[in-house]
Amino acid sequence: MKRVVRRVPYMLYILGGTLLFLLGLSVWWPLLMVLTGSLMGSSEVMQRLAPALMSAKGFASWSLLPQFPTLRPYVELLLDTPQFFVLFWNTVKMSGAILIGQLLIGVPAAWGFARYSFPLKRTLFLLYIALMLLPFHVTMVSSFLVLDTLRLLNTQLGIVLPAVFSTFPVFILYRFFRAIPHEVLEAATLDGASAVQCFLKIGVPLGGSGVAAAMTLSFFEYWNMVEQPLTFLSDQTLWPLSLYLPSISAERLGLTLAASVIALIPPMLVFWFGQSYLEEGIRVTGGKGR
Amino acid sequence: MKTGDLLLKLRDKRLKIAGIFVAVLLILTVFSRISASFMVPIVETMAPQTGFLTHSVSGEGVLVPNKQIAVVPREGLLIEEVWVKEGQTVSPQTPLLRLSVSDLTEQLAVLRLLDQKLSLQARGAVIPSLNPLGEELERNVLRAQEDAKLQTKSDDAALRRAQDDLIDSVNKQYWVSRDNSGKELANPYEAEIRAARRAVQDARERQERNLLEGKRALEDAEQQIITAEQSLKKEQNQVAAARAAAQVQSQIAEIDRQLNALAIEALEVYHADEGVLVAEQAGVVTQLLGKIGARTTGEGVLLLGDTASGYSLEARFTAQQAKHVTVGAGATVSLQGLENELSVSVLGLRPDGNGVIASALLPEGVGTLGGAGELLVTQNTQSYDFCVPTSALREDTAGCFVLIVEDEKSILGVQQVAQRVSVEVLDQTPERAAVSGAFSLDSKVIVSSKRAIQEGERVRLGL
Repeated sequence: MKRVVRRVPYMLYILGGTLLFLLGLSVWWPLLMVLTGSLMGSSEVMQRLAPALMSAKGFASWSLLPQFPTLRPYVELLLDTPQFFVLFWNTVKMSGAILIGQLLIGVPAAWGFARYSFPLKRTLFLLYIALMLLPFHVTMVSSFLVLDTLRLLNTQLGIVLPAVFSTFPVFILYRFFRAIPHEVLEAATLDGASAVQCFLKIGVPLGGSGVAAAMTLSFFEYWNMVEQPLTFLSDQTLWPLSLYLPSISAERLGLTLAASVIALIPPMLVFWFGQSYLEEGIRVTGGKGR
Repeated sequence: MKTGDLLLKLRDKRLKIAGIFVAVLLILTVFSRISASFMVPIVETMAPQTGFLTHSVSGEGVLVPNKQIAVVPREGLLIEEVWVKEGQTVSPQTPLLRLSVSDLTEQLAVLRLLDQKLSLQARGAVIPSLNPLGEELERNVLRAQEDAKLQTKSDDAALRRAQDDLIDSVNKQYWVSRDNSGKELANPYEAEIRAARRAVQDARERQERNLLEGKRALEDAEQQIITAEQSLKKEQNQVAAARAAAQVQSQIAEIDRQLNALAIEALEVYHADEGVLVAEQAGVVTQLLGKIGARTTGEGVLLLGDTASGYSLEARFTAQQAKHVTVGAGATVSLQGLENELSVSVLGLRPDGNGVIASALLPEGVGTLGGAGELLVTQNTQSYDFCVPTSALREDTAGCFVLIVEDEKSILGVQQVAQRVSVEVLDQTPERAAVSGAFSLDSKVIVSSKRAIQEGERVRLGL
């Protein structure tokens, strides 16, 4: 009887593992294609994707191992394409500015919603949620008009400022700040701490994981933003990396794939940094929520 | 603690990796700029200019005397000897050639006989007389008129007689009476009356017929006169024309006679000189046209160049070069043995096969006959709106074009890119070309580059 019981879970284990592997492969497959494609020459990439890209006869094909592996796409990208670096640093600049702005604006806003009561607080918070849920297309025209009035069109500030006042980090941090025990703050107040000191020395350290989680998620969002730069930036020198990749022609697919790999590295590094904070934040939130 | 240390170490490792990544990207950012700048070709540009082109064409030639005299004896004379050569200097009265004396003698004899003949011809011509036929015709008309008159008289008399007979017959019948019973007796004169009436009738008819015939005869005679008058007029005109033609023939003959006399006179002069032709002034024999044994054609048998009148350089230009050589154009002359170039102008042009020969007058005392020289003609064209260096012109299957530098916005900012502009070459020299195309005087036309450039390629302006 015990043997039978042990076999069933083992088979289920194998089946489950296989299913999970396949699901994981379907998620990983595009990334594998990008990685292997970045090691192929242009002719090999065109040969495999010609039926899809150039209406050639037959079907597109792919292999995980390039027939003629080469680092030429990376050499071309990193040594002969200064445009890539212009856009890369544009992205770094805009993302960094947005994150700093959200730290300065969103964190105190979340603290205010979490720890203070004021008239129309609930209405305002609901408004925040509604704004968070609205897609970009809905507010695109109004944003365009406002930026035009403020003469911020075709400037990177026109991308950074609206993102700084994003409601998403407020929503994330609200939960984290709500989880801080009231008694801790009372004790600090009794010890003579001011509101700002309570915020800076108690709220921010205790909600640090939430802050890191919010910043990590915001980084992912703004590192890959496409709609706002496409709508509000006409000067190519101000474009982020997300707009450069589609502009590369089909004849330079190897370059595109290599650029995609390089563009993937900073988000991976940020996630590597922020993963623990994300997990910790979720764990803390779940425990405190109970 | 250990976990915390591990976490700290891991965080340091991540920071190091991130730092290395950022540092590498920074280095590659700079390096890619440097590398890309090496790939961008440096070009030199020039703005199109409004102006003209200067065409310089050169031709080689020889010096010829400005003034040439042709020795032209009469046509048809036989050249027996030629005593000079091309390039030989002669002085006045130098014998040049000799004509055949026997031929001169023969020609003189022929001309003298011809003179006699022409003299006879010049004396006059026979004039024809008029046709006397017209007088006879007038007589015919008179005769016809007289005949008609006589006939009319005769017919009138016959008619009167017939009428008288009728009257007599009619009168006779009044003596017929009636008998006592009142019955008319038969008229014995009735037949006679009828006959008389018939006679009258016949006489009248005869008269009318004769009258008509007479009229016709008269008309015919008059018509003959008219016709004769016309013929007479025609003959009179013919006589007048014949008289005029005869007069003209006479005059022509006289003129021919006079011309012949001149020829005789000229040949007598040659004959007196024993056929020797001498130079009338000093000069150099530039061209011998007559040959021994050939007859003169009425054109020059040799050309004498007047050395005192100076020299001209006659240079030959091809048909392609001839487009830029015009009378009055400025030129410079380079002569062998002469250090400095001379500034002259083109005096004349004449066709020579597929090209032209241009002549330029040299200053007095310069050059020697037959000397070689080079004529460099420079001429400015009309003013063109756009002139560019010839090195800026490019050509492919689509035609001529130039590359101009235009600013283009890109990710790296404002870049200079070579753009193609098709042009039409209006005129061209080895240095410059006049073109028309879609650009302005502010355009930067690429005139040279370190390497080949394609349309749309990024370029860099040279310092």
